[in-house]
Amino acid sequence: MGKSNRTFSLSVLSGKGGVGKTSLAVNLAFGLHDMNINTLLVDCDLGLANLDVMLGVSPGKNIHDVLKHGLSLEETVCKLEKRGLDLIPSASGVVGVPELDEGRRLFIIEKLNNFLSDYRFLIMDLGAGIGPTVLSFARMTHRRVVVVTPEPTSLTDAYALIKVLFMKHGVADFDVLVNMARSEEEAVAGYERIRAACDKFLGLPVRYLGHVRRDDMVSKSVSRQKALVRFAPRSPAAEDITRIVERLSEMRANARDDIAGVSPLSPDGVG
Amino acid sequence: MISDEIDQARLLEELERLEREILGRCGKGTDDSLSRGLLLARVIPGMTEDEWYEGTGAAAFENSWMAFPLNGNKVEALAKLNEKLEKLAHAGDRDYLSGLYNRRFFLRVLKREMTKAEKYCMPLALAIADIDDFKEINDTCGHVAGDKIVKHVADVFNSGIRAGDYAARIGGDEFALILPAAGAAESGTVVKRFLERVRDIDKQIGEDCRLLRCTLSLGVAVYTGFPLMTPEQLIACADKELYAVKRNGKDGFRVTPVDDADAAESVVRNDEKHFLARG
Ligand SMILES: Nc1ncnc2c1ncn2[C@@H]1O[C@H](COP(=O)(O)OP(=O)(O)O)[C@@H](O)[C@H]1O
Ligand SMILES: [Mg+2]
Repeated sequence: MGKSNRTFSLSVLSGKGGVGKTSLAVNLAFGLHDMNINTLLVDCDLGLANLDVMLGVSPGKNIHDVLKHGLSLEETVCKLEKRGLDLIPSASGVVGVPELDEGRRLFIIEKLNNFLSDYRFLIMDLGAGIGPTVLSFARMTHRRVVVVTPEPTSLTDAYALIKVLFMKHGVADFDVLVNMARSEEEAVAGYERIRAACDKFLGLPVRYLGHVRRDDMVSKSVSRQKALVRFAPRSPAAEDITRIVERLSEMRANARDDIAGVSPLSPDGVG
Repeated sequence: MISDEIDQARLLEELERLEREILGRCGKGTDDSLSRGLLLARVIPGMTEDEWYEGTGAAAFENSWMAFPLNGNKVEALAKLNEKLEKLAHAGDRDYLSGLYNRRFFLRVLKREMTKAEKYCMPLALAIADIDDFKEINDTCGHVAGDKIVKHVADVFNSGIRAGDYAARIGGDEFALILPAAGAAESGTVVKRFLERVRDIDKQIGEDCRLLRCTLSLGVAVYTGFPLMTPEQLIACADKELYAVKRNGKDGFRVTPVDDADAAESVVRNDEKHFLARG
């Protein structure tokens, strides 16, 4: 056995697009960095990548070069801060993106596992829906954050995603984050619907990670290409995000023993 | 397999009772002419009572008869019966008339291959084929001619099927092919070759019955594990293509990738959706 693993991996997913995955992934990463946790953010939305745009970086190489041409991850990594916060970008508008088949999946897992030892946190920003690529990435990580909004369609699509991952791939570990909520009550009510449905139809307990309020500062920060927690740290959404970052940090601390004996990423998840 | 001695004894008893009953029914239990008689019984795997009475069984009288000597050595006969029954159990995956896999086996393999496609993001082609104007042939030339055609088509599949692919007879004149890892282009090439070979048949299939043509219509659905489907749903997709071919003059094939429209829709049942909406 090699050294014990200390990288905690998390994927950010949703059934429906536009619910705030990418915005949240960025801000969670910056928030973790601010707690002195070395973090790597990976854009896994192979078809509709926009982490680079959202952050105003213009990457030279990206994850497609790794998948297609066997480039090393070192050659693609972008620094978001001087120390301790990096991004592996994807490319937007790539046409005819192949789905992540089993060969590519194992390849990227191996590459990332060898690359991750300096990071304490890995956040993967996924595409929306229940396509093969999403399912592939979602089951590699230690934990999954399912982003929903209180809207019924978002809840239904998130439930579909959880159901597929659970029934077809045996993934049973989900933390639900309710974004764009008008109030905490509305967020909890939305979460409760998913929880009750998972319990009733799947016999699966899911957890509540928290909520982030609807806040115009989120889109303003995007248009300035800055993370909200930097641009407007006192805004309601930034405050909510900071609370969630603290929970994630706790989650990692609690899981330390569990992840010590496994890789950061594995072909069929952990636990 | 009957290895248990008690079971064996009980079975012997039963056989002797059966023997007495049969001899009794012949009305000559002690007649010399029956002291060396033979009872023949037969198991036909995959055949239903209806099919038997419809007469399609007539073509299938070959090696699956079982012999039981009347007034002979019961223990020896029993051992032979066992052996034969075991062989027939293996044949349970096959369709008795065509020698292709039967419907039950087909459904089992389809389910297994769909799970693989889902897990490894690999394509899987399912083809459903139907003999054109089969009912007409049956009605005008009779069942024997009909069976001949079924056998001909089965032979085409049997001799041309690639290693790793599966051919099954899933209905009277309905066949299915499972082509693991085959996408739209590859499955098109495979089924096209079968269609051509099926046309090549001796048209004189009965003394006074000459076929105009022997052709297949064929629908192919290519599944890549998304959106998730049940085997029944995938079969319905291939069937839809098959009917489109039938409407367009038969003797041809159509290939369709499984649609990803309404993916979430196909995963979430109505009761789940209502529950989520109402809370
Ligand atoms: N809490 C929020 N309040 C208001 N707008 C938000 C919030 N979170 C995200 N948004 C906006 O929603 C849009 C979609 O967000 P994005 O992060 O790109 O979603 P996804 O990655 O799930 O497609 C963006 O314009 C973003 O600014
Ligand atoms: Mg996104």
